Amino acid sequence: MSIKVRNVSKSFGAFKALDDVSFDIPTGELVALLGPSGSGKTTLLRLIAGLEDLDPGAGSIRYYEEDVAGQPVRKRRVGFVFQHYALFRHMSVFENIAFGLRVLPRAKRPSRKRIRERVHDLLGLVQLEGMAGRYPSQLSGGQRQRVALARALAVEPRVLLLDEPFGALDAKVRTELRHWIRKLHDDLHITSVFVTHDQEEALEVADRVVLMNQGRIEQIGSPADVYHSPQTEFVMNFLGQVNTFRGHAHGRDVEFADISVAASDGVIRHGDVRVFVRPHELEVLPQKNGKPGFPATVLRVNAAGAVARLDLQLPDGGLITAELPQDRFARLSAGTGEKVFVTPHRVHVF
Amino acid sequence: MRRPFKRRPGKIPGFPLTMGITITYLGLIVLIPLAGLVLKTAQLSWSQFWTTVIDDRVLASFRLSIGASLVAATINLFFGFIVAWVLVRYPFPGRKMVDALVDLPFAMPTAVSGIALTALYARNGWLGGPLSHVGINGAFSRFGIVIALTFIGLPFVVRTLQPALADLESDVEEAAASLGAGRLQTVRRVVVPAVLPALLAGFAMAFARAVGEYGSVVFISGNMPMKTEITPLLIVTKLEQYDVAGATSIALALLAFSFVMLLVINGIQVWSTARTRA
Repeated sequence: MSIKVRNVSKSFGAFKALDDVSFDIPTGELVALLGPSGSGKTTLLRLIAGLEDLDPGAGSIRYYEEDVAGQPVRKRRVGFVFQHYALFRHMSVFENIAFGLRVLPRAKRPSRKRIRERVHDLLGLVQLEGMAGRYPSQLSGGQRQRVALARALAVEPRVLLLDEPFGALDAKVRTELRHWIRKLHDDLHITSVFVTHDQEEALEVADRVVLMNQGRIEQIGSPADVYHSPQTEFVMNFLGQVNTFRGHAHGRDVEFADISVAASDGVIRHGDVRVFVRPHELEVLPQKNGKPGFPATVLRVNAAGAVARLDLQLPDGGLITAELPQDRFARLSAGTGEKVFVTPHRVHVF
Repeated sequence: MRRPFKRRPGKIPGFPLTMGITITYLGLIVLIPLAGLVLKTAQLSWSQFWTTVIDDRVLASFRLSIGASLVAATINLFFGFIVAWVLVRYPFPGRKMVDALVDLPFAMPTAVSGIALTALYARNGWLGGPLSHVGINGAFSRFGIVIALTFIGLPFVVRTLQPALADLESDVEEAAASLGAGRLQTVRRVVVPAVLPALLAGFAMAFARAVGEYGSVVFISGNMPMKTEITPLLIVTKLEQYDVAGATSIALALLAFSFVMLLVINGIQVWSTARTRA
C-alpha cells in the first residue's frame, strides 16, 4: 500500500503545524518521520491516520489512488500504535488484541474459534505466548508496546503507523524493541511510518528518513544519504554532533581556521559561509604532517566507549570536538593540555 | 539486648497519631450516634420491634423510599454520565458556569429546593401545567418524589465521574476508533467499563443520599400515607408523637437495608477495580 501526501497543510488556530508538505511512501517501506518537537511530524502521522482532519482544501492524502481525506479513522484500516500504548486497561491481553475483530459488523466478524486462533498467532508473533490472561497493568513497558502492536496488526491494517513507539521505554528495552520491529517489518512487509525525535533510532531502523522542521520537509532520503549528504544546515545539525566554523568561500574551496580545503559537495560558492565538520571527520595528529591542518590544545579526553572523544580549544578560543578510533588515540597518546594538529577530511559548507 | 517490642518509626510517619484521630473522630461523629440509635431501639422487645417494622404503612414507605431512590440514582447514572462527559471532554464557552451549576443541589437548603420544585411541578406551575395535560401529576405524586431525589443526587454522580473520565486518556478512544469501533461501541466497550468503579461509587452515594433525604421531598410528595409517604417522614411523624423507640426501629431497619445495598455495590466496585489495576 503506497501512501501519497500532496500539498498538505494543517493549522491549529494561528499556529501552522504543517505547511504544504508533499511526499510518497512506497509500498512495503518502513519510513521514519524525524524532527524536533513542534516540527509537525506527529501531526502529519495523525493526518495520515485520520485522527486529525486536513485544513479544508489544503491538499490530499491517498492510499494507492484512493483519496482518504474525508474518511474517518475507523474506515481507513490503519494500525496505529501510540506512544503511551493506549491499551484498554480493563481488558486482558487477549481481549485487547481481539478488540478490532470483535467490533467488526456481524457479517464480517470471524467466529470465536477463528478469533482465538488469530489472537494466539499474534501473541506468538510478538513473543508473548502465555500472557493472554494478563492485564496491561501486569506487563512491563516493552511488553505493553508489543501488545499494542499485536492489537494493531489484528485487523490486518493497510498501513501501520507508530507514534514515538519507543519513546516511553528505557534505553535497553528501546534498543531491543527497535531491532525487533525492524525484523518484524522485514517479515511482514507492511507499509509502515513511525515518528521519532531520536536521529539514531531513525537512521538505524528506517528504509527512508523524512526530516522535518517547522512544519516543512527538509530532506528525504535513505539513512546513509541524509547522514552523509545533508542538504541543509538543519539536517547537518540535527543528525549527530557537528563542529561549526565561520569561513569564506572561493569557488570550490573554503577558507576557515587558517586553512583552505575543498567543500565536500563541489559546489562553487563565493562570500561568507558556515562550515561544518563532524567529530569523526577530524584527524588529530601530534604534529603537522603536510596536510592542511590547524593547531589546537587538548582540554578534556573521554576514552570510554567505541571511540575516544577529545574536547579541543582553537587558538582563537573556539571549542571543537573530535572522535578518534581507540587505536589511533593510543598512538596519539595526547593528554590534557598538550598541543595537537587537527586536519579535517571532509568539510560541509552551507 | 534486643527489645522485642521496640517501636520503630515506619517509612511513612505519623501512623499512630493519624489512626488515633481517625478512630476518635469516627467514633464521636458516626459510631456513638449510631449506638444511641441501637440502644434506644433495644428498649423494645423483639416482637414489638418486628410489629413496628412490618406495619403496612411502614412497609409501603420502605418500598417507596428505596424504590424511588433507586430510580432517581439510575436516572442520575445516565444523565450524570453525560453531564460529566461534556464537562470533561469539550471546552465550550460557559463551561465553568455549568460546572458550578452542578453543585447547586449541594448548596441549596433542601427545603428551598423542595418548595421551588413543588411550585414548578404543581398543576399551576410552569412544568406541572403541561404535564397535567398529558395526565401526569408533577407534584404530590411518586413522580414528584423521584424528581426531587434526582435533583439532590445529581452532583454525586457527576463529581465522582469527572476525575475518572479526566484520567482516561483520549488516546484510548482514538485507539478504539483506529481499530474500527464506532462511537457507540467505543463508549460501551471502552469508556464505560474503564470508569465503572467511579460510576458505581457515584450511584451508591446518590442512592444513599436519596434514601435519607427529607427536606426537599416533604413539600413535593404530598405525604399521603401508603401512597406518597417516605420513610424519613414517617420517622419524623413518630418522633412528633413521642414514639422515639418506634422511630428508631424504623430508622434501624432502613439503615440495615441501605447498608447491605452499599456493601453489595462496594463489592462490585472492588471486583471491577481489581480487574483494571491488578
